[in-house]
Amino acid sequence: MLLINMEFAPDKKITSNLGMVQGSIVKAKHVGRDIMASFKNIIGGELKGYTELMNEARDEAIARMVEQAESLGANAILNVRFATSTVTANASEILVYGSAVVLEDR
Amino acid sequence: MVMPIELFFLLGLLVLGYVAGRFNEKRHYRSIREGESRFRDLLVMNGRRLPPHLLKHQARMVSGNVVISVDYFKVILAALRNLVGGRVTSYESLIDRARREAVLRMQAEARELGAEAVFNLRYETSRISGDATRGVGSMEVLAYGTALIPPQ
Amino acid sequence: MTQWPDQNPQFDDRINNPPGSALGEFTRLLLGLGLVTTVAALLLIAAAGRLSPLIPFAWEAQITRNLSFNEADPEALAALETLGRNLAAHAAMDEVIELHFHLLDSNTPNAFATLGGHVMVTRGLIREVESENGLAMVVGHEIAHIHHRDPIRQLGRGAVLSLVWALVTGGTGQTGLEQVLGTGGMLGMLRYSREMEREADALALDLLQAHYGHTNGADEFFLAMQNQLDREARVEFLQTHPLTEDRLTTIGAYGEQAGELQPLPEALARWAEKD
Repeated sequence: MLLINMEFAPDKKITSNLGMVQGSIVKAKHVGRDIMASFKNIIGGELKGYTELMNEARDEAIARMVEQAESLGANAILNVRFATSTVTANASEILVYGSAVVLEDR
Repeated sequence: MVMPIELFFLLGLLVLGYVAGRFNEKRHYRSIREGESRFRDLLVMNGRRLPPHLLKHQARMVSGNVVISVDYFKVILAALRNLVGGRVTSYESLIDRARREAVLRMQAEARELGAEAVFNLRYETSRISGDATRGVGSMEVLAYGTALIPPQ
Repeated sequence: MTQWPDQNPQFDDRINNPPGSALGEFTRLLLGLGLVTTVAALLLIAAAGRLSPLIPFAWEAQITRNLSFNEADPEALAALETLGRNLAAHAAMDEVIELHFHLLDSNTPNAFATLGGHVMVTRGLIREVESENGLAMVVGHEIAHIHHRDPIRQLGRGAVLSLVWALVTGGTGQTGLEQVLGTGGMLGMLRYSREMEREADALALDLLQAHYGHTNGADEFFLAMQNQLDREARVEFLQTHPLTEDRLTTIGAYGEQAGELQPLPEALARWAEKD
């Protein structure tokens, strides 16, 4: 499944638009991934555990969106956008959405 | 009131936060500048209009993200600022670093795919609270866009 | 043909990431804020001290209405009350203020005055004085605190101080309110300011002069505290009553020194020795 965050693919043409698809996931942030997190809060620096966590969460959300697109028979999703919002103090929702299309080479 | 031992402890954390924080920041900035010069020819733009020489390229979505934590000194400085108002310069550097690092990682992914440029760049920033009462514990920045890969 | 860049531009880091020593900013903010808060706090506390006596004594009496004391020997207590009221008669106290005297069965020498006009004297203290004059100095001192409305003043100042502290540490709201009320320390030991103590001493000496015609024996208790070998008792006393030496100097400088010392009322002396 091709993912593009523009509304067109320069080397292809859109043969059919299949509608909007989205994937979302709510992930809690305090899963103790990065044991050093509280220590890092004192000295600063990258929280690699959290970076990985957010990556995984996003990949999962994308997978869900792709599943929706596949069920429509699409081979690409255009106009992919992300939206993150804080649901509770400890958890955030990651939403990814886009337009499912069928693309063919020009 | 705060006992002297607590004050001493706080001061110790403050000093540790300042020293370690500044060291981390300097080191990070050096690596960012290095990365930026390495990727200087991998163009990153936030527009959607493509220049003519990229019109036949393949498109792929690429992204890069990073989560960076504050240090204790920044937190205290920001708390003081909150009382007075004005630019919270201690957090400005945090955002700047996170943003540029995220873009670099996105460029790395694009380069791996053999891309020439990344267009339609977008940012997503979210805060990860270390502690509900203290506000920002760390910031996450996601940078994503469309990598343009020359046709084979 | 519009122009397109062939590489990413390089910018001066300082545009989005301003330089300027973080440390410098920190010290400036800290000192500036520290100064402002200290000045504001001092002003507020002084105001609280001035305005607190406006709270009517009736309120104090209301609050302390349900205080119960393990009253000691009634005869001893009667003796203390007689002494107390005799002294108070010379102070021209406000009619609204009611004095209540209590004897505490504690071996640590101490005496204090708190809200509602309650004056407490411990058995340990009675043991440390040799004459009625010595006891009268202490009792007179506590009566003076009541007369000056020091308990309510201290409550007001303490509350304002807690409030300022809570505000500065960002605690307004539930936790702030709890702090303010919690550290009120309404009943029990209130630490009075040095000025309050000095004024109480001055009035006490006046009372002694008026009642006995001299101030002989006024320094009995303070001398005893100085020579007190029991460190624990001394520390506890000093925590709530500042510098003994200054007070001895004040007493020494006061008028009539010579005069006959009255013995301790028998009931009190008996009770103090009792074990």
